Amino acid sequence: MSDPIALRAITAVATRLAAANGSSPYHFNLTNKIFLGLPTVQESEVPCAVIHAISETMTTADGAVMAGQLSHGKTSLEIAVEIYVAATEANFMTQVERAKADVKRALFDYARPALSDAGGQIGPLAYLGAELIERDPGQSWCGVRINARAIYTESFGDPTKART
Amino acid sequence: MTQTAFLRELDGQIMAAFAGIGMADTGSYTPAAGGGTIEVQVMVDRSMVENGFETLLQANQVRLTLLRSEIGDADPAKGSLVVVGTDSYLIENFLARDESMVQVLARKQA
Repeated sequence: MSDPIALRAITAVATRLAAANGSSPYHFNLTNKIFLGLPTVQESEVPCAVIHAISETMTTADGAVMAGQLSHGKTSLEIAVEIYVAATEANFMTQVERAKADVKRALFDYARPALSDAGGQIGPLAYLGAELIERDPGQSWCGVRINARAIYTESFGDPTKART
Repeated sequence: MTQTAFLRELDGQIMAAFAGIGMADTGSYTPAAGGGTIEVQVMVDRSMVENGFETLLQANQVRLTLLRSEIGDADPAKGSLVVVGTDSYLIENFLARDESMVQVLARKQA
């Protein structure tokens, strides 16, 4: 049974993120600390990253709602990567920017913008921006969320097929 | 009676009432700046630091509420120690303060 393309895209993001192994040019070792969809993580897990599928839309190439008028449509899957690393009040912004840089370096590649896996090419991954995770006084960690969008074609009614 | 004196008396009575029903504890406070260990009443709130968007990170920190009528007017310095039962908490930072109470962020010692 084939996996849905959305799951393949999420898994491909996780695979790319695992390149952040703490060795230069990466600042943090995330390789074995990448989780999918966890609602909570403990401070003892940092540095770590959690990948979330936020929302998905499917349209025709010209943006119309898909209602079976075509065999396939353009699917956009919004993906958020939340990364948490240790920080002090003194180095908070430094750690935030390093964490953000690690995720961007691992996920986005000008030479290979499309996500792919053993099943072939999935589609391009777009960088949408980043948001600082709220902080409290005395907090010993920091977090930043990187928003991305995986774009691929999907058959109407069969989320495992790119095109019929 | 001044406002400060009123607040300290009121908060002291509230804390004593909380302690009487198990919502606060008697412990000890040792200021990092020295001055010896004193007995205090303290409220310990666990899992106070939970931030995030989709995922909440739960920090291994607690919020301690202490009375100025017991610890004095000097703010607890980082590194001051509060012991409640068998648990020891090292103060890391302030969360809030007024004339009567101090709330600090502390980490439980292993």
